Amino acid sequence: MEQQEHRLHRDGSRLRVILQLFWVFFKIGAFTFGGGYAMLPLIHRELGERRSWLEPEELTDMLAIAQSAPGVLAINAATFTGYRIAGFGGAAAAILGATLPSLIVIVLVAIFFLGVQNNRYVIRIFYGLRPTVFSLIAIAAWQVGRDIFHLRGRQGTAAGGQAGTANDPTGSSNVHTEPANNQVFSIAVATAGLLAMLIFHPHPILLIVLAGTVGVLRGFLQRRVVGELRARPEHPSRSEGRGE
Amino acid sequence: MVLLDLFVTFFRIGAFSFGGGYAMIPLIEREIIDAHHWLTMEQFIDVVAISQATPGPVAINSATFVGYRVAGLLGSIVATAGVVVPSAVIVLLLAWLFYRYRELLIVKDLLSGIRPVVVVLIIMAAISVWASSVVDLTSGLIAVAALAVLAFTKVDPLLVLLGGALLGLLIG
Repeated sequence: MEQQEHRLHRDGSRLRVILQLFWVFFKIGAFTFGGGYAMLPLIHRELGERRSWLEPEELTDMLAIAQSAPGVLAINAATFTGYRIAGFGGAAAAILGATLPSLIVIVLVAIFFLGVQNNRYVIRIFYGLRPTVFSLIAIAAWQVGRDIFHLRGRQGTAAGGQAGTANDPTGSSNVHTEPANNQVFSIAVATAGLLAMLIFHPHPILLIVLAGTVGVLRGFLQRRVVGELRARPEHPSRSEGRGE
Repeated sequence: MVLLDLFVTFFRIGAFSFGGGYAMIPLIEREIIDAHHWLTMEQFIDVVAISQATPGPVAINSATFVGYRVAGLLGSIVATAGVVVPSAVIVLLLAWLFYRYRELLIVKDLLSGIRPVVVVLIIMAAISVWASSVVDLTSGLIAVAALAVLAFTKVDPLLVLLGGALLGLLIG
């Protein structure tokens, strides 16, 4: 069943890729303070720019899925990314890498250093560290927003694109080439969502469910009105699924 | 069978808490303080504070800490595995479905709605971290400086974090 969902470079050795995944997520786990989003620029850097293992839009889809699932965001992101790059082994390596630093640190804290949060050097370090965590999250919002709202040309597949198109028979690079009214739609949904969050403070999962519903309804209405299928399924065997 | 109990409890926490991070705290609280009395409220507040002063997600840190207190190193591994396993399985399933069916129109439509709110949730996280981390002019300047470095240079984000930590140590 496992076909081409993951993008293991067939020329490179699988073990090497898996070890690299472990190491990247170990670093991410060791330096992720203040919740999962701060790790996004690190993933973007390590897996997108440096290794070309993920395309920018895959980062967004990964996040959409990681947020829709229960549990820890960082672990969900590690699972999805590891699986995408090297299958189940990759997912296991990424999860292990992301979990191990906190396991080690917390066990050490539990044994030796229960007052760590009151230590004055630790307090000072976090005084300087937390604002940079904010900056990482703000940059993550920009990196993801730039991609979703089409704030720059898509065709320039700068760092991430080449490996992707060469190795990805499913043609994921074509998935996102959408007409401009999608840009308007994305910005409208984001604005409405942001206002809703600021005014009503709904649970994040409720926002995700609502937004997904809006997307499905809009697609349905649009096809009704336009009367044509915009995106033709690439797999001929799957094409019967277009009837939704 | 305390190990099994640890695993099952943290499995529930991993399986039923949506939203990650601090959204998980009420459920953790209910399970380990009210239901199992593994920690007192005061100890739990310490765990949250320790989580803020150490790397890693709160849920993983709580699992490790509670597991260690209850059953030593093995306990911490079992509890952490409990948190990780349910969401890992669900994400694997979703990832598999995603790459298999992402050409379907309904999946595209679904994601076309969800993608924009991904940005919204990141912005909300940024706002909340700003509120808790920028407490005076100096920390505000660190935030702005770090933002500028990240936006305009190719410096490794890890170095920016280390730089912030170092600045805090020197001038905090």
